[in-house]
Amino acid sequence: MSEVFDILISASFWAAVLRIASPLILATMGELICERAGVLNLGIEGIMVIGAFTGWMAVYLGLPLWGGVATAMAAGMLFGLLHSTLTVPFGLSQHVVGLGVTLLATSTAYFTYRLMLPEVTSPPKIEPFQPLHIPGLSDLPWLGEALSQTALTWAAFAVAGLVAFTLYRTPLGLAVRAVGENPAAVEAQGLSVTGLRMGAVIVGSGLMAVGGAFLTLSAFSSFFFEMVNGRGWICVALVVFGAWRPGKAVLGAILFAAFDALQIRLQQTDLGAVLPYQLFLALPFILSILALILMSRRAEVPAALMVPYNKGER
Amino acid sequence: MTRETEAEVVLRLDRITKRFGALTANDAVSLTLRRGEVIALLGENGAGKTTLMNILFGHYVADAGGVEVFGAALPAGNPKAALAAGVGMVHQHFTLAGNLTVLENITLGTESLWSRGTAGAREKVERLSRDFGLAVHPDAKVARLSVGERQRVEILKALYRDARILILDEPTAVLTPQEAEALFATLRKATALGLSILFISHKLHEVMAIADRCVVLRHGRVVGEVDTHATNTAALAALMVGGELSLPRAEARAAGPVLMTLDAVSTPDRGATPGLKAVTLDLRAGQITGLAGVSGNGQTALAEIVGGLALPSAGRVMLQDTPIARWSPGEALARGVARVPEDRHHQGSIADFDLTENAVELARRAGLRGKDYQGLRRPVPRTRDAHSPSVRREHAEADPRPRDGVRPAYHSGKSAGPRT
Repeated sequence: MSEVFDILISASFWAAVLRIASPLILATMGELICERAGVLNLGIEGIMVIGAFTGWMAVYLGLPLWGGVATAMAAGMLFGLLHSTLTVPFGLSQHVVGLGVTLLATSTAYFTYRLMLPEVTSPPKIEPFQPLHIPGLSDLPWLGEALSQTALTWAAFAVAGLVAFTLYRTPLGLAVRAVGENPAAVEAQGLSVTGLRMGAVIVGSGLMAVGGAFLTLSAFSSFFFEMVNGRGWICVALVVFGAWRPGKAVLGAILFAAFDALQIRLQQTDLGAVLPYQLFLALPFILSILALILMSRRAEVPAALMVPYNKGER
Repeated sequence: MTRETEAEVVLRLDRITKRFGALTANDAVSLTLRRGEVIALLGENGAGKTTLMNILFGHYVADAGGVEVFGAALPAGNPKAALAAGVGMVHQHFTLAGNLTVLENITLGTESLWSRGTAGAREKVERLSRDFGLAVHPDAKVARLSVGERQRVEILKALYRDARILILDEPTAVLTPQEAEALFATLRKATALGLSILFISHKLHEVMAIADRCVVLRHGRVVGEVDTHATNTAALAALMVGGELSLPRAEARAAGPVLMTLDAVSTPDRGATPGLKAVTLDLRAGQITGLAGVSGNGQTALAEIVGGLALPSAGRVMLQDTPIARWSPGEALARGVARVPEDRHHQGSIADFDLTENAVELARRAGLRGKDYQGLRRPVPRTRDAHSPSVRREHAEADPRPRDGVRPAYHSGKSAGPRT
């Protein structure tokens, strides 16, 4: 057990936790905004793929790194527009549309990649975001190493703060929370249910795509198939885990990232020699399911989640 | 309450017509509301009152006719325009978000979405609740409020937006008599301050107590407009149903044997709704047993136990002196207990099934088999044209509302007509 303890107090472990948590935080905030407005966005997995791909492609074709982030966000918002058009004014099944968007976005990314680079066997690399050097902070002994993170990681936490602030401290956030609870209340107060919901899905999808772009622009330096690898689904669960609250959802993302960082390191210990590595790979998911069961017991689900709103019908 | 007829006209409805398929919910309805006046809009369920109010507030668009507020035409189908023109509506089904606080529900939509919010909102809400006698805590979560408190929030919402015209859709349906009295006090304060009120109801004594004028709707048409002090409840009732009302007479009858007994039955509390506490009740053959009480005081729990949807946590239920061991809706139907639920849209019927299919489902549960179904189905003309004469005739025949000139032998005040 002392090996586990050594891992848990090492700065490199916590640096990895923050790094792994970043794309999850970005995409979870995106999903949280959608669900708070009453729309389940299962397009998240595909939107993360399209974000990872378009962000990487833009930089590969010569844009600066932040240009890649902006490209990914725009691509995500485009798929958000598709999702919300089908689910909000047309009121189609949010499950079917979400899975459809995931399939469409994923195949579009893979297809375009193959069209662009038909001959390539090893994915070409770009120069990704580098850890920021913050005067004073970066020179601290343990903390300096743990907080040696790229600008996108800092941005992920800033986004979480901004989402929390907007939801709970501004009229816009109030309207978003209300439209996910009782759209009739929003309409009776003269606001547009369609506008709020579509806006939330489009902005949320943009954040999901930036979460995907984190993988190619910050964590790794190239795009390859299956790289999102279920992270979108994890984010859907993290929203439930966080009881639809940004702060708790960030904690959930950090917890999941910690399990993930831990399992890689556990594989290299004596335990890894005895137990099959698949068990370690499954560990974060098993622990997340347990945590989800414990945490979501008393969650206040947005009352109008997955309920399309038709004007004049009650 | 100002009585002079020269007072400023604040609201004018001009020949509003609205059809839903073959049903004409509003047929050229005209109405004038003056400053400081309370008008009661009377009519049975399905007479078209709620439809009219939804048109006025922009939830529906009228097929013909127009709305004028303070002399200016109100654009159709636009709640925001109605709010801006000073029309505030208190819906029968509250439009509040339960996850928000009272203050948040009130300020929702009143400030620019891109601003930081208005300073002084809390002070304004507190001042309004003092001035109009609407006691409610601004920071309370709406989900935890009682029905009466929620209604106060709805009224505060309208007042916060400086509404000059208040529309209340059956506001007392959900209130205790004490709460209703407090509501009337609030409304009197409002008219004293120059607000005008449209009060929708079918409770005649309330209308007599609060309204200056009554407009009576029947089958979507205005059938009468009378000053309250020049009429009485009997005359209003006759206008509402279209003929003299002969009230049912309860005749003394020899009580038959006891068919069902509830013996000290209790159920657990459900959130804020108390459960039953050792209720004992005999249901006898040939007798109607009435149950009085403000809604939310255990009626639902009792109905569920009788209908087989729930089991008591303590006490016994007996059918003809046999204690019930297995008790389920199917068992209840098979033993001859039928239940007409309060909310027929969500319980007791499957809206996507036709009448035959609904009846078969019920019959199957009650234990009917095979040939019992014969004769249940008869051909129903299917046509896309809802205005065709045959469909209109079918609608007219199926209309549960009393027809003009027909004297209803019995009127319950609640018919099975569509909610409009």
